[in-house]
Amino acid sequence: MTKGKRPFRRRIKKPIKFFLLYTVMAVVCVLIVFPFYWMALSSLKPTEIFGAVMSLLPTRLDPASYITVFTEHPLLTWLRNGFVVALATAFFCITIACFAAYSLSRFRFKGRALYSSLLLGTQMIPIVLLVIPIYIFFKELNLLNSLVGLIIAYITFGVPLCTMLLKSFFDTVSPEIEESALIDGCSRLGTLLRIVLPLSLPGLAVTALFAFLQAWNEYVFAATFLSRLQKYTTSIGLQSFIGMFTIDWSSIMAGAVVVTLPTFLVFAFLQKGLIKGLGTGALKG
Amino acid sequence: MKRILCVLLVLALAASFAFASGTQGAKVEEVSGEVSVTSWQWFDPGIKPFWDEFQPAFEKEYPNLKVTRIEIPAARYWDQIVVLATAGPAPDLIHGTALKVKQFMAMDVLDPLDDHMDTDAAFANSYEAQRTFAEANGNIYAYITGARTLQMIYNKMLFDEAGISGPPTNPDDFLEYARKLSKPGENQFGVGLKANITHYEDTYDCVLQFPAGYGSNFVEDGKIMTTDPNTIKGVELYKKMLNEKLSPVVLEAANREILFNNKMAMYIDGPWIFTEAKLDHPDTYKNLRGTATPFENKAAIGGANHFLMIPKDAKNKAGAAEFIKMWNELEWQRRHCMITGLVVASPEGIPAEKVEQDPWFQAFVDGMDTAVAPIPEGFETQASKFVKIIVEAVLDEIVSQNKPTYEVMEKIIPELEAVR
Amino acid sequence: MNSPSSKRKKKWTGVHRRRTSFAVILLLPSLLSMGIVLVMPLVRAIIWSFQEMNLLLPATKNNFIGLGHYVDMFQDGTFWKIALNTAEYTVFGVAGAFLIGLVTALLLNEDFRGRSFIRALVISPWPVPYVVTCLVWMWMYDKQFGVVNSILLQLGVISEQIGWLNDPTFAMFSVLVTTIWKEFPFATIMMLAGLQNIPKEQYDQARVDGANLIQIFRNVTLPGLRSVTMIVLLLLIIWIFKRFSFIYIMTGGGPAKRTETLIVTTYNEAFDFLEFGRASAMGVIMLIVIFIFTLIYLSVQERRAD
Repeated sequence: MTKGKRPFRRRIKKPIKFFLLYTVMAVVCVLIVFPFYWMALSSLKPTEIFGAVMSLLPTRLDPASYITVFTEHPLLTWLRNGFVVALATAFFCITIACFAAYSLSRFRFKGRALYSSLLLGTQMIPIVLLVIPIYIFFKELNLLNSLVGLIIAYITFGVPLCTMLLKSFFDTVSPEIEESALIDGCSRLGTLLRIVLPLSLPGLAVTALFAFLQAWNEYVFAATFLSRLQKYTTSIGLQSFIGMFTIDWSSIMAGAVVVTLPTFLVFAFLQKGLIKGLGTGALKG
Repeated sequence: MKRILCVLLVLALAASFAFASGTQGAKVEEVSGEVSVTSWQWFDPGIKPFWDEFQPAFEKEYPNLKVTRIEIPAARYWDQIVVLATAGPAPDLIHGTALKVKQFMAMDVLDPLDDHMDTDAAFANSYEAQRTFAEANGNIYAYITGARTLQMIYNKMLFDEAGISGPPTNPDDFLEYARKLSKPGENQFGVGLKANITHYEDTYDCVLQFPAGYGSNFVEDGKIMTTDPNTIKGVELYKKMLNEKLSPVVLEAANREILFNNKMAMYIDGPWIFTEAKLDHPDTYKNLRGTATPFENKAAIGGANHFLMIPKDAKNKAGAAEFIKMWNELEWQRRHCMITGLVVASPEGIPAEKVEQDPWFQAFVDGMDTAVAPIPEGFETQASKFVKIIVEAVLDEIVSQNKPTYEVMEKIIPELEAVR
Repeated sequence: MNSPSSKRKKKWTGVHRRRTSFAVILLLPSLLSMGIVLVMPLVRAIIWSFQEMNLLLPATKNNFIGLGHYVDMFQDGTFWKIALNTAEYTVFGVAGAFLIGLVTALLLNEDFRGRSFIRALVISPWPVPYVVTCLVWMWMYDKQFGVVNSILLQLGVISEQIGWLNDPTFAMFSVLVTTIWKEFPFATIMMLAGLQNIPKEQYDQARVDGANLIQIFRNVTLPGLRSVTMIVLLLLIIWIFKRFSFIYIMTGGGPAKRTETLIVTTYNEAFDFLEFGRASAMGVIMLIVIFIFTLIYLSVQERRAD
């Protein structure tokens, strides 16, 4: 199946179509990206912010807000916390989910449909309903104000989605290779680890990315379970910039830039593989 | 392969535990260890300087005690301290407002101060309020760190520009001056009203000012007075000022920003405005004056409003008590008053020099005589709901949707009764 | 997949049983985590929904009142107003995110120079945390100093600054724009992957049959996207129905409950008023709504597939 250039385009009026395409794309991109641009611009104009009209173009840029942001707030700590939590979540989600996904994909057993419905069901629960009971539960276990507690919560809610995704990826891996491996004496677990996983690496990466982003972006649990500033993740750390009596928008924007930049870059690199990966697996399910 | 996986798993678990292990509070033996405090005042440039002086001095005095500030984002402070006090983990000291004190007392989550200090001795010379406001069953549950009333702050420079000789002393002048001093083209506002539906308590204090100025209230002596003609008069004046766009409708922080840029002529708020102006906006500071509220009865909303409390589940109550005891020392009370302009727990805590140094302070001292408590008796437990009902009725139905004031005020009577 | 059935016929009892228990064992870790951290709290919350649980009134705590909360809510006019808001938010949010996702996916499916780069730009809102999104848009919507008002004023579109987040006329619209901005990349990515899965041969065949662009779109592209669309719509509807951060952080549900949705009310009942019983009841109602909707949705899809 070749996916790529479609030769018939040459027969259609090429210049007009391309011109139209580029124009529309340009407008769409500008609209989508403008908030980022404004975020970055505002972060570099700490004194102009409350003036008359802030110009749309960069003139007289001043990095003072960045210094404030790093010296007056533990932004680096928040970044570290955020990454640790998101990475740990992704790692454990994948680990737990791949066993369950393998089971769903390769076996027909009683309760299989029930389990699948359970997975879908977890996606339907409004988080706010569970926040207080889990809060009380974690307090009894002394897991409040700890990144470990947050990670456990994220894993619990991330595993169902990851399982569903991984299952559809595993489904695309033809079972014949495993058949021959089994006949050759390999254990079931071995086929999982040595055959299925390596063959569905793009799918794994996609799922890991989903889990990572879900944890990285999350707000409600982080805001409720963490009450010490040093424990904050990036998600809620920035909210603390809004004072009751002062709002330093320039610093908030600077913090936003620092928080957005790393994942944005990583994401930009990975997005090609992401779409390809989704194409191979998730949509066939 | 399996073994490698297992090892990796264990390593990963260990790593996340290592990263995530937080500082546990030290075991309390006698008066030592960590004293964790929550306050919103660290965010207020007008009050923060006192904390920055007091805290190191306290730690020097008690080398075995370390004060930890639990910083909670402003947007979540009032919700979060309730969660911390009830579901935990409780800090050793909670800094709260009058409303929160009453709520916590009703929820029975506070420890009486009497268990940890000799309150009779400590509060012998304090204002009456210290001994009675947070009192129940012969115990005192909270310590007043600041009392204040909200007074009129005005910008003399803008008044001079407009040719007005002095601040308004009655509501008609108040309205007229506000009109004269508003210049929409230059983003200048005659008055600053709190009309922010997300910040209920502050908005409520501002709304209440108007009926109080006419001698009325939403509840008086246990009776709901929302339909009293003077209450209605007050609410209508508030509405008129908002409708004529004499005030910005923004978050508190933006109000202050406009004020400090010399773009707001009148503002009814507390002494911390002056403190913040003196520190960060000296140009505006020299223009600001303080006086009584623009009503004939000079009614001002307030009273004792900042309290330190010890939650029942606090780990280091002894340390917390020492903190309060030191704060209560007259030396420190005077320092607090000098820096923040708040009226403190004892009359002797107000240094004479304060008025000399800051003439605006006189208005706040005088104001204590005409203070109107924001939350009426009997409604303290569900004060949050009480405040919300009134603010929503006024801002949403009366101002925004322009419904007839009398009807709305009548409609909310049963709602208010329900939260008694 | 042909392995299980053939093996099953040969060695019935032994292998099958072993395989079943093995299969179930594989599920254990996930069941464990879900069971402890999800199911137990859920059960607790459901029990609370049948109790009087106002922490401000400790005397009445844990009084069993059966369906009391539910009945209260259905009789409360405000509840229905909020339900309407929720429906409005969900419908427009999903429609906006889906349509923009579809359009951008179609555009990105074309091959042109710099496609990778443009694609990265188009889905850039996706890795941004919700809080950052809200803060940036709040700043842009600021009545006095925000860039939206500034641009519109300069262009002469408006004569006076608009309070995008505190004017009842515009608040819902503003929140929807932000929501759509953040949520559409998911739709884009899924649809794009779906588009790339449509075999090129189908397009070639259509061309050979003499179809023009619109006909190709209707007869090749749309049907090919059917299954992706189903998934994307379902997930978007469930997610946006439950979406909390945008409204809570940007407007708090205001002005005057104009933007308040069920999830925000649930949160406020719990944290503001400490009415855990009532809040749990509201959460349970949301859960039931989503559940019923999903059932209907999936059965319609099944029937269509036949």
